[in-house]
Amino acid sequence: MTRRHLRLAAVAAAGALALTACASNGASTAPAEDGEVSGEVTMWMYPVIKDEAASKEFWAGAEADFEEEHPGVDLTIELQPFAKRDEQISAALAANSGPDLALVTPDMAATYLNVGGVQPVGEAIDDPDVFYPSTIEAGTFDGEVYGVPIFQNIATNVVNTKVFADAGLEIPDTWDDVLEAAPVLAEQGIAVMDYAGTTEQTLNLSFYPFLWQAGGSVFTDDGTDVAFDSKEGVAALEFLVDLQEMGGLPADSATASITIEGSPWAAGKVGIHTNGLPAELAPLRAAVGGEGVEAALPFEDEIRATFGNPGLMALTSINKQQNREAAYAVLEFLSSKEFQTELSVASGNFSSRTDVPAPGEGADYETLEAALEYAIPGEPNPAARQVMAALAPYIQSALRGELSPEEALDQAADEARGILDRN
Amino acid sequence: MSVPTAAASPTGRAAGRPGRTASRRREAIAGLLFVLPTIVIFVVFKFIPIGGAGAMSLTQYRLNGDVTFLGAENYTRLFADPHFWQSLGVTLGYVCIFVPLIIVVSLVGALLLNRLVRASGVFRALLFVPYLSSFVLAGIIWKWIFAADGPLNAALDGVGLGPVPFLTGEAWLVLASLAMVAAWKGFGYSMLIFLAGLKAQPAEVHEAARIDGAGNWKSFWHITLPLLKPVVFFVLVIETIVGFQVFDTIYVMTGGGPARASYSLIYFLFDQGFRFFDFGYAAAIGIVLFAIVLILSLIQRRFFEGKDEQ
Repeated sequence: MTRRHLRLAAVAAAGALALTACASNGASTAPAEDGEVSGEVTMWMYPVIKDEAASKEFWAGAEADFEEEHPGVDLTIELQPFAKRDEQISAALAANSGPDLALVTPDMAATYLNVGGVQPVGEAIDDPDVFYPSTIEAGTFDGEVYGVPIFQNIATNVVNTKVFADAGLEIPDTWDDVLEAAPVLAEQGIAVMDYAGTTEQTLNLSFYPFLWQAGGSVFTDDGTDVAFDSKEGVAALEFLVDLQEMGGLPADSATASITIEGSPWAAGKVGIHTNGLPAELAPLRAAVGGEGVEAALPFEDEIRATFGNPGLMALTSINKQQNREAAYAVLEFLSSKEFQTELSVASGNFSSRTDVPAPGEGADYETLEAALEYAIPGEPNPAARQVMAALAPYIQSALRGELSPEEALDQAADEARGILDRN
Repeated sequence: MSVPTAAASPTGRAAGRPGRTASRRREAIAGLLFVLPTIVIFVVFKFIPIGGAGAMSLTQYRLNGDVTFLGAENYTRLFADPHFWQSLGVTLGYVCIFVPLIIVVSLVGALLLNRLVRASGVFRALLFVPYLSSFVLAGIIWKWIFAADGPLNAALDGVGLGPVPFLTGEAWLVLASLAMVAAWKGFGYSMLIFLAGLKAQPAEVHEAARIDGAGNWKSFWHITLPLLKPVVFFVLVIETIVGFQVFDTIYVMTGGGPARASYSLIYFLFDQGFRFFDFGYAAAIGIVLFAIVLILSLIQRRFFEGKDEQ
C-alpha cells in the first residue's frame, strides 16, 4: 500500500471514529454544578386528549412548564397513537432506544415487569395517601409500585336516546333488556349496541367487560390458569353471538374499528356505544348532531361491571441511573395536584388524586363518577397482553360464525395455557 | 475467479518481472479497496445479523438481556406449533397470488412502455411513483378505498355488485386484496427491470420475425419472452422473497385478521417477538423463513438453468 493509500485510510478511519462518536451521543448528562436535577428524559404520551391540536398544545405547555421548573432537565414528550401501543413500546425496549417513561395500563405494566421492561417508581411518589388507593394498587406488584397514576379512565355506555325514544323502548340496563330491544330495533335496521371486534382494540374495551358482567374472569384467582373458557365466558360470547345473529350488532362487528367517523353510530344506526371513554362523549355527541346523547351505567348481568383503569406512567428499562433523578422529577411533576387538575379538565378523565375535583359538571359526569364504582382495572397478570392477543382472533371467529362460542373459547384457552406455561 | 499474484505463481515468473507483479498487486489491492465498502456493509448489516439471529434462535432472550441456552428447543416447538403451519399456509397462499400478479402487471407495463415512441420518460416516471411511496401510506390509502363505505364499494354498489368485504371477508379475498395493493405499490421496480431487458433485445431478431410473417403474439411468445428468461428469473426470485416477507400492508390494513386470515409468517414472527417478548422463538421463525426462501430461490434457479440447457 502506498503512503497515499495509507493517508487516505487514516483519514477515513478518523472520519469513521468521528461519526461513531457523534452517533453514540447517549442520553447521559453530567449533574449540574448547583445540585439541580439534570439529565435527558423522553416520555411517550398517548391521545388521552382526543382533539389532536389541543393535545399537542397541552403537552407542549407541560414540557415547557416542567423545564422552567427544572432547567437542568431536557424533557421530550413524544405523542404516539394508541393503536399498536404494545408493539411500539416493546419494540423500543427490545432495541434499547425508546422512552424513559411511557403511559401504560396495569396489565401492560405486569407484562413488561415479567420481561424486565419496567423499573420501580416508589421513590418518585412523595405521599401515596393523596391518590385513590385503587390507582396505586393497580400498579403494585410484589410490594413495589411500577407506575405513577396520572389519571383514571372509565369506560361506560353512551346512549343515542333518540333511537330508543323513536322505537318506544326503555334504555336497556341489563343483558335481558338488550336482548329484548335488539329485534325491535333490528327491524328498523338499527343495532341495539356496537362492538369493536378489531384485533387492534384491547379486549379490556371490548370482550372483557361482558365477561366480567357475566360473572367470569380472564384468569383464575391465583393467576396460574385462564378462566375465560368457563360457563360465564361462554355466556358472554354467546350473548354477543346471539346479538350478532339477530341484527343487534352492526354487521361488521367482528372486525369493526374504534373510529367514530364513518361508523354505524355516526349514521344513527346504533342505540348504545359500549365501552365509551369520557373523552369520546363530545365526538360521539357531535357525530349524531349534538343532541340526544347521554352517558349511562355499564350493563348488568350477574354483576354490573366495566373497565376503568388508572393511566400509569411507567419507568422503562431504557432509563439508566444517570437520568434516574430527572425521570423521578418528571413523575413528581405529573402527579402534582396542579398538573393533574389541568390534565383532568383537558382530557375529561378523572384524576388519580383525591384532592382534584371531577373534570366537569352535569349528568354525564355524575354518571361517569357513579360508573367508577363498577370499574375493574383489567387483570394484571404477567401474561395478560399475550393472552389477549391469543384470544382476540378466536372471538372474531365466533362472531363470524366460523366457530361456536364454546369451540372458540376452548381453542383460545389451549393456546393461552401454552403461553402461561412458557411464562 | 482467480487473480494471478506473485504468491500464487510458483514458477518464479514473478521474480523475473518485478515491475509487472507489483503493478498487478496494486491493481488487486485497489480492486479490493473498491469493493471493501460493499463487503463491510454486507458483513455488518447482513451476515452478522443472520449469525446473531441464528445464535438467538438457540436461546431464550429477555428484554433485560438475560439469556438462557435452549439448544434446538425453539425449533422443535416451532414445528409443533399449529400457528406456524397456519401462517406458512397463509404466506404461501399470498405468494401464489402476489408473484404471478406482479410479474404480469410489470411485464405488461414494460411492454407498453417499450412501444411508446413519445413521452415514454413521463409515463415511466408516473408508473414508478407508487414504488416510491411507503407501504404504510399505500396501506392506509387502500384501506380507505376497500372500506365498506369506501369509493370502490360505492362504485360496485352503483352497478349492483357491492358491497364486497375486501378486507373482512373470506381468506382468499383478503389475501387477494392485500396482494393487489402490494403489486400496485411494487410493480414499478420490476417493470423497469423488464424494460431494461426488453431494450437489450437485438432489434434484428424481431425484425427478422416480422419479415417471416410472425404477428405480435407469436413474436412475444417465441422471441421476446424466451430472450427475457434471465430477467424473468431475477424478478421471480426477488418478488418471491418480497412475497414471503409481507408484513407492512398486513400490519396496516388487517392486523393479521380477520380471525388470522392474513396472519403471515412475518406477522407471526412479529407477534412472538414484540407482543409475546419471545425473541429466541421469533429468531427461530426468522431462520426457518430464511431457509425456506433460500431453498425456493435455489429451486427456481435450477428450474430456469435446466430450461436454458434444454
